[in-house]
Amino acid sequence: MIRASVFGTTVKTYEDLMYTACGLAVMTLVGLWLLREGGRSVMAE
Amino acid sequence: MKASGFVWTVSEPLVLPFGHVEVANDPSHTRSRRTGHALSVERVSSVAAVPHIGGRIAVHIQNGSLLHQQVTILDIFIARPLLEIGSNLTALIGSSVVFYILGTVDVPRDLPMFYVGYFFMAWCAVAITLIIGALSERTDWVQRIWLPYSYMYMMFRGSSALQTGCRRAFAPWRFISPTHRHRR
Repeated sequence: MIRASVFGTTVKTYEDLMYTACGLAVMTLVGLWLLREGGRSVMAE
Repeated sequence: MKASGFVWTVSEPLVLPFGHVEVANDPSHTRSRRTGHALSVERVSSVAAVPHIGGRIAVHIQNGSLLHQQVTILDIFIARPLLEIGSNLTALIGSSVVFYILGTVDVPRDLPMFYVGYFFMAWCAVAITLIIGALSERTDWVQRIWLPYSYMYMMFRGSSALQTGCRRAFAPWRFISPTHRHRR
């Protein structure tokens, strides 16, 4: 998307907003879940 | 000298676009200087932010940043990426202004799409940070593998340049790149 915005039609780019958003949402949820699970084992000194 | 760490955090991404100028190739194969500079500015965002923030978080956790009981792990995971994204934004704006003054780069043709693309890039960096940071708490291997990979990623990210610049010798390496774009 950044490349498409900079170069316009000069270069062929492929982007899909929904696919990207869904993929990132899944990654974020997985990250938060891992953080929640891992945070239990971390003790502040 | 205490501020040197913060200064480096802000200035480190600046090194990339200027260094990248020499290796950036024109995607339309005309090898114009103008496009090379635009590519270098465009690449600084994704090259610097996406793998780098995860590595920084992994080191941060391993160094034992949870010294204060009021500081939770989520605080670090939010504060550090925001700082890194801020430094990345500074580098992006700084290099864009310099190249614009030099007359070698234009304002993005589609600004709204640029903002959306940058938002997704930042979101991607934060999502990877959450995963890498959480995993780095469990085993040292995540940090040891991710940190070198984050620097090697810069090379992989430049595989498109290798593809056009040194076609035969380096062409197979482009398939390693997670961001490889297929071209017609």
